[in-house]
Amino acid sequence: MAVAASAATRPHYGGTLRVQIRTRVTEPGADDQLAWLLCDRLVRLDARGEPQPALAVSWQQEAGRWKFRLRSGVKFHDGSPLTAAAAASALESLGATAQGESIMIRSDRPLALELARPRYSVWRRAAEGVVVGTGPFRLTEFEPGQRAVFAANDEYWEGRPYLDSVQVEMGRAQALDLELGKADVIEADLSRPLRFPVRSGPPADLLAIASSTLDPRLREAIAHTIDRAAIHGVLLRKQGAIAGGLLPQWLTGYAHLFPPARDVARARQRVAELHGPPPVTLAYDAADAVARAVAERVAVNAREAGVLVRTVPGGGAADARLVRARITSLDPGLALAELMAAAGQPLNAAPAASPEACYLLERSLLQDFRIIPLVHLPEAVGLGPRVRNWTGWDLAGVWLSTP
Amino acid sequence: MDLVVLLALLLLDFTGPARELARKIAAPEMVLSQRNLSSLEAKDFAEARRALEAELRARGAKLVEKAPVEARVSLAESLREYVWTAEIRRGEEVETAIVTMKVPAAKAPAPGVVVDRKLLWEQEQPMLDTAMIGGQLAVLEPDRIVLALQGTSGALPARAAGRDPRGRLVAEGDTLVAYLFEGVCRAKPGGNCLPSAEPWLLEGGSPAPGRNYFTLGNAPAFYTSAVAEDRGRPVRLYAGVDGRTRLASGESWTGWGSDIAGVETACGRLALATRPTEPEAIQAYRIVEGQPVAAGDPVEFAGPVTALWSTGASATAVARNSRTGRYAAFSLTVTCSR
Repeated sequence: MAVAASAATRPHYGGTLRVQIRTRVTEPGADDQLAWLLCDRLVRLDARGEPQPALAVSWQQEAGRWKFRLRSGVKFHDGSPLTAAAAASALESLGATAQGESIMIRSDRPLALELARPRYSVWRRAAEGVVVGTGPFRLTEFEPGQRAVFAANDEYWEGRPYLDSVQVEMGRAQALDLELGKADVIEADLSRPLRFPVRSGPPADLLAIASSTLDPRLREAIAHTIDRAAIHGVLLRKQGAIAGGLLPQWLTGYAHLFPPARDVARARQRVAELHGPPPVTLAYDAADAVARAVAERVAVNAREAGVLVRTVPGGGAADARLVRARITSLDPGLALAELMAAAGQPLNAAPAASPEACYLLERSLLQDFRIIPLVHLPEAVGLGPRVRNWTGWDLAGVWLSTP
Repeated sequence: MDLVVLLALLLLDFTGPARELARKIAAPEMVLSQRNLSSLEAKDFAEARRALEAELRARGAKLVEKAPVEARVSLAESLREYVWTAEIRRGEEVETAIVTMKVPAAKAPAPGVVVDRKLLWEQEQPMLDTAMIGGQLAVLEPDRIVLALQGTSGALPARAAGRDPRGRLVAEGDTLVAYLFEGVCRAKPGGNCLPSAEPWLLEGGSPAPGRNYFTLGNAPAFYTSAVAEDRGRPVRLYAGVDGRTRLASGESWTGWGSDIAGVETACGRLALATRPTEPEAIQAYRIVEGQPVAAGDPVEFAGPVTALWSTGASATAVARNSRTGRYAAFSLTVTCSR
């Protein structure tokens, strides 16, 4: 619920927020920043990660069956009412069904947590094919992968947002534009010093090396050479956290059980067993400056054990890939399953249900070095001087100060 | 003991998790080491440590300095839970046990009292304003009026729907009058608030529906207004949405926050104003020849001040404690020594 703002300086209504994001969004209701503007979810998470009412005003679970009672009076941007049928249709992937003013979903997992994720945004396609949500902003212009413009939803159930509009440029995040006052918010590049305030979320991106084809001894050798402290301290200027495990400490509370250890002597032993290791190609995302810098550092480290790693930009054939996977679920079991899928190594079993099961699964995944965690990176944005009350991509509470 | 402190202690009860962990790791003779990787303070961690040791002993475990079984226990923390991990070494074999415990909502007590402010009420729910009626404190929340001690409530005809909901609560005899941006309503204590056609005139302007400011003809929009005195004459001040505070006579200045209120004192009517910089504070001012003059020290708060309204001889301020997230209503009085 909207709560009274600080009386120190009350929020101002009006203005256009100019945003630059690296992602090229082709579907505005998908799992991305734009979904936060356009759509609501049944629940939202508070600062402690606890589910709070959003489109659902209450929920209960009984015998593996969840019942979410919908908020009344909510409308889609085209004026049509939010009904249980519409919400169930939006959540079809979960097997949701409408029942009166509620929707029912079968699940044994902590579903209320899951439904706060943008991928479970409630939206539908209007007659002309336009995506309409119930969120704080409605879409007024959209050029796939290029540009999107949003206008304030005057009928928003939680109160009209402060901003009049939001302009989003995609595939572009120029620090210079922020410095010259041509943008108000940009996705920040953590590998470069920034001359403007940066807001970081929790370190939710895992940067890891994934490889299924390399000789296990070679994988292990590379893993033991990696100097994570230098990657974290120098390349990332201490932003984020060193990763010994796949899931971060803030999510599981047990990541300290996977202490990252550098052991070059052991790496050399493994290399010696190979009697002349073959060169290794390591692919990275050419558009990701952090990935490039980290890949090059991995190559330098590997050389200490006599392993020649050649870094190659792009997603072509390579022996190993530097992957960047985002954690979007607060359910550690699901988060782990999604990380592995993003790394090209999907799990064949159901997601772990208990902390111990999750820990054991993670330990087993790390044991054969098919995936080597390096660092957890935060999502960071640079903010211009006009931007106030930034709390993330839900821009309903953001406002612009007067010049 | 303060209720909040008591609540926090009760919520931080390690007995259950300690029992569960002890069940998983207890051995007849064992070496136990414990470390704190969480944000718990040393005294709370000591309590957790004692709880685990007590549960292990209750299961017949003898804690010694050397034994074939060694348990290395860490109390860590995730976003949502405290996480107890135990690495149990039995010779070459290492097992791991994990037990979790919810992080309580209120980990810390509310801060202490500050001079010239008196705590009226504190609660989890947002408060817009308070009023005394029949010896009881009534609290205006965004969607209801609650009699604080009784807990009985009456619904508002419409929720304070703006993104920055604001409202005032005034007692008129045995009736409560709620002034909201969506309209005015009247209620008997504990009863529903029934719509009334009367306008909100307390601030000298009209509330802009769905927004958080007032308008008055062609004058600049303002968040609050207050009546103070300038050399014995009443003057009305307006805290503009553009950051300027204006007198009706035309003088203006910057440096005040969005919420202002007038209070009667022995030195005449002064203005209270929120401070636009951190830490959050309220400062008293005299108005002298059309200009503000700070009077005394600012009163600081442990989080954002979310409302400030005049009640005549005093003012009501609502502040949200940044650490606990709880809302507190204060009565502010200005004592003036000549």
